[in-house]
Amino acid sequence: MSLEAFQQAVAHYVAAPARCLALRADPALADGFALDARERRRLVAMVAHWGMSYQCTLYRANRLTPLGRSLPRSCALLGADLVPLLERFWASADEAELQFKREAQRFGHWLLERIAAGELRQAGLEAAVREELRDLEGRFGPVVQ
Amino acid sequence: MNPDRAARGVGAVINRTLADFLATHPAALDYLELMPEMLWTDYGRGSAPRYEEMPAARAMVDRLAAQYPLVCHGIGLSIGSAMPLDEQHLAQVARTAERYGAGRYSEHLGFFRVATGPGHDRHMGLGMPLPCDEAVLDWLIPRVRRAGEMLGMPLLLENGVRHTPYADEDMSEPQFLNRLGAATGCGVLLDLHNLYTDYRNNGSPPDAYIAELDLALVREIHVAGGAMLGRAYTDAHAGPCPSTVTALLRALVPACPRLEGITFEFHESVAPRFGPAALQNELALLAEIWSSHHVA
Repeated sequence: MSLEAFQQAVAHYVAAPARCLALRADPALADGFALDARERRRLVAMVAHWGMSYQCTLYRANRLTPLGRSLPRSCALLGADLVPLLERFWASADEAELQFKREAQRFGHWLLERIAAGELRQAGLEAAVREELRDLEGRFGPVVQ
Repeated sequence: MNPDRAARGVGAVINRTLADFLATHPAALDYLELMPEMLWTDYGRGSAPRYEEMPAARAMVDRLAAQYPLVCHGIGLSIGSAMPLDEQHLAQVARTAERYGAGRYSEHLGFFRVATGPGHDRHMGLGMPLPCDEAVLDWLIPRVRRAGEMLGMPLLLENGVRHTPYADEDMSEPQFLNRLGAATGCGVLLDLHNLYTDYRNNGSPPDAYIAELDLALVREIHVAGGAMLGRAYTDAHAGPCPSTVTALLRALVPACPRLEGITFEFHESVAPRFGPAALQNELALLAEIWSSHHVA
């Protein structure tokens, strides 16, 4: 049993539909993980299963929820740019972080960097991001341990 | 904790809309189920400090705990992750359970986190079930024993949804749970809506699962409603229970000799369209099923 490698492989694929499509096209990509023969068969079968599409969607929904709930005005101001920006953000921060405060802070500061670089020019966006980041701080209290 | 009542009967998972509902329907529930992780931000093992309290959530739970018995339902332990058991998290939830006098603690039979290095990990974005293999069972048994020791209260493990079933497992999940329960003393939180979700998506019959499970292990049952997302039926906690789930519950309750509660799960985002009247009706139905086999 190489359970750790198997779980790492599952995490790798649920985070990226493009990787799933690549594995479906070339099962030899599973050789990149130190799996035993049964785990390798399982991984390839999982990724080929239609339910993998739902799991990838669930992963993205779970990552989107902290952002939509914590930075609602910023997300609304981004409009049609939001989804491609999320793709870029997730590509640059592959590690899921479902803790609302930390994930919203990561995305908020990432947006501020894009604004400073002149990539995002939506009216009122910078003010909205800064205000929502401040609000976020106010919703959390002192560290307890 | 309300000292006058035991956490038996019909409960619901605490969310931000439930307090408003209970203000006008105080007798609708016998107990509440707390997800301890709603009380803090967890920066993950290896972080110092690791936990950051959320005072508003804590204040709400303190108020509710003064009125209702609580049980705990964790989402952060990831007992099935292939890394050392997260004893820091167990200690954190044990303190919470003790503070509220929780009568039992349940967690998911699965893995949610993966290691990123020695002593560090990250959330993988969703929860996945464990493969039901002999080697996994042997590895899990001492972890469940240790978790039970640290918690000092009954530990229940919950069946999850299997959107992508594992090929070539050594045993079925109910067989896995039976052996895990026999070896460790842990109980089962049987989520009927998860079974129904698997049935809708992959045709796995809930009756067959239930027939294989040692029902003496079942201490709590979860029920919920779902929703379609594309081709998939999802455990979205999106409203009333499907009639199939209610029928399963009705048949199962008298067959579980150690059952302590039926817990209804609904997501706070559906509360506006669910509405208090529909919620009250759903809870009344569950109470009728419970009371038909249990004396108050």
